[in-house]
Amino acid sequence: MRRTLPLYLLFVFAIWGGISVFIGKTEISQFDGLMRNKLLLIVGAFAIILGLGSLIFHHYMKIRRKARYWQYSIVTLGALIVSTFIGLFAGVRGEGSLPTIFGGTIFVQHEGKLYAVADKQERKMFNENPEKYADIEYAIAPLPDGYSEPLIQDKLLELKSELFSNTEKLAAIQAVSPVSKQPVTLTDGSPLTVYKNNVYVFASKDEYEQFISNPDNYADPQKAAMQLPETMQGELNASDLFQLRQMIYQKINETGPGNENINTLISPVSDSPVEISLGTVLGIYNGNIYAFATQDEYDQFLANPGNYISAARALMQIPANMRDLNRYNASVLRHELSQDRERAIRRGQEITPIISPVSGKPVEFKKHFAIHIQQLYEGILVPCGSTMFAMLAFYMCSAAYRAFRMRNLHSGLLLVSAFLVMLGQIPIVTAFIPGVHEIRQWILDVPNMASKRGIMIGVGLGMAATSFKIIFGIERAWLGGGDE
Amino acid sequence: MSEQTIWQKFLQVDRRIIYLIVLIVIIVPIIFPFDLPIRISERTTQTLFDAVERFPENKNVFLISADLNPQDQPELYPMMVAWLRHCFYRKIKVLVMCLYPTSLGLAEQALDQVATEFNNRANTDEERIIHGRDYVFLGYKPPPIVPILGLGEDIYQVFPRDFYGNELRSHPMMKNIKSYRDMDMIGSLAANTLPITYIAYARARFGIAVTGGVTAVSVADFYPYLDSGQLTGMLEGMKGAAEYEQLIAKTFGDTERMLAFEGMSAQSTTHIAIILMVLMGNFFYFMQQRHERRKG
Repeated sequence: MRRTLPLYLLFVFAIWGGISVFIGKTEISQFDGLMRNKLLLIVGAFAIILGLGSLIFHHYMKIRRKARYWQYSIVTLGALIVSTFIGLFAGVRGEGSLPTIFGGTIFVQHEGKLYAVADKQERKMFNENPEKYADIEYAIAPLPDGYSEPLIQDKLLELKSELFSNTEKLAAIQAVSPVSKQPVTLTDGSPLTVYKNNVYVFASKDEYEQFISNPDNYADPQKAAMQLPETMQGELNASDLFQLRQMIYQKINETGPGNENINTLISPVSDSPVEISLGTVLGIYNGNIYAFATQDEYDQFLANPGNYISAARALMQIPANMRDLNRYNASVLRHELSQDRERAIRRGQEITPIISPVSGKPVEFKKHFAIHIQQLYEGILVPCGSTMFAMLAFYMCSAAYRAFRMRNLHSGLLLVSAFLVMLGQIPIVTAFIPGVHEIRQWILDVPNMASKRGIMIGVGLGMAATSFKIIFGIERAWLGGGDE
Repeated sequence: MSEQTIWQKFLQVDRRIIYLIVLIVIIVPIIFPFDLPIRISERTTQTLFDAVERFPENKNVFLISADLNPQDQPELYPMMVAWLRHCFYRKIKVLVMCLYPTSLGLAEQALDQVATEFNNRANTDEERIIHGRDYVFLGYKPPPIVPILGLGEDIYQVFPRDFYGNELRSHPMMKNIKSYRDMDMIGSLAANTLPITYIAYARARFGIAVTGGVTAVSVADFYPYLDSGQLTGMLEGMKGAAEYEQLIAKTFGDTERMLAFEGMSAQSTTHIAIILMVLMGNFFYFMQQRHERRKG
């Protein structure tokens, strides 16, 4: 039973594997996919466990018997235990259950912007009330708009065409700025924003930026163009924006200049009435509605919204693959930030300080210490692997001088062909000596290809024959015994 | 005791002297690099370049199987960087996956490097390279044959999430990609015979074009497939990578660093050193044989 069950299993799965290749039925393909994607992984996991067990047993016995070079077995087992522990509990990129990234600047994230805080206490304060502390001036950089923005841009383009087609509906109205308390004339695409569910309109970009830098100072619900409808709470999408614009149009149409009941649009910065006129362009970014003076401004904004509203304190663009600020991403950010800062120091450039949005004070940038599989890979495996293969260059040259001898016709042919192929690899030779490249190509295309084809056919026939022998149980060496 | 001839002395030279000579011929061109005129191989590099240039507009997806290791990094890493640059210049979407865990770090490094190059130059959002819109890093999946076959049916069964843990379906570029039928070509970067596995399982069964970026020592193994058309071009070692970099620089005016091209000077001097050592070794051997024949 111990030796026949594997034979039966092998036969069944081998025949199944062959059938699934030739029969293209969906159900068969799906079941075959299940076998490959799930079952094979389970078998592979068991194989790894068996292999590891064998490795541990072998080296343990060497240590116990104090066999030759038993000390290397201690190093092997030690490395196995340490890397297993790190891999299991630290993760590949520091996402494991145990903390493996120590120290370093602390990052927090809110509404697509990244901030740095001084310590864990500030992080806690920020996370408890991000609205209070999140200030675009302190943002390190906005997260790039890689996912939803392209779709919203398409919708915005539709919206813009819709807007320009309704020019007859637009009429200039008086608006009052909540900041200067003066009437504001809203020109094409004057900025709009939403703050605490109120829509504010500004006469200019400067007013808008003043408002954004300190909205509490200027925001006055009485001066808002309108309150954000209850149905549009939270993140606004393009459809919400379109509805919002329709509502504003409706208000414009219902009122007119001189009507005291006008719900005027007032700039919260200059506190002056804002006039919506022909082709006011609206845009949306991170839940805020913006309006623009001209079509060009709108296009520029669409091309790079982050630049339009980013703070002067932006240090770097966060890579597009950082959807979430987990420990690994934060460690990568710290690494890149530290490299940028060290480069700036070497070049004598001014380093922009990182300001905490909680305290408003500069945050000292600190590097971190990390232990995870990626660190082991980059710090140990890559250098060791590269070094090992780099040494081969020396051994190859020594062997070429000492051992590569033309003792007979066959070795002579080998030497000459190797010589010509190597010459054909050297750019300076192929550039100045005609025919070398063609000779090399001929050697690879004709004699090499012919011999490789012959070898491949032989190997293929041998593999097919051996496979049939194994499937039908004629060849049983893999079971650990001879033919029976 | 017979006196050693000069030929014997030369043949028995201390190997440390040979190591020192090799050290000098490798280090000097690295410290004082010089440009070499590189001739583009029509059959391999130019064929691959033209094939990528002719990707149809309706698909435009290149799957790169990045199976490079630290050992073959000098040859295969510049190939991957060159492929990525070419794809991003041509606005071709790129899927990157690894069939061995040791390849993940280098694959991600190459993606980050090229994306950063393009983003540093970008003036508009369209010019930027964004993960999820222009490329997706699928990550690693064992064992080699399972994902190769699985991608022919349903990519989401094999890779439900990308390397960073995002749902694969959430990426905008994955909207119209389900299997090999929605891709143009597979590029296998490997130091072993993995391109042959792709030919056998992906091309033979699902009909997708396959190309390879291989180390120079394994180039000869792939010529039968090149001749039969099963491989659409190929990059042969560091020289092939340097040729591809040259083609990209010439076609798109790319001015970024060309790692393989820079390494060609050191590689050329080392090759010349090896050739000279082989010739000298055989010359001294023959002279010694001649001396012994005359003496005896």
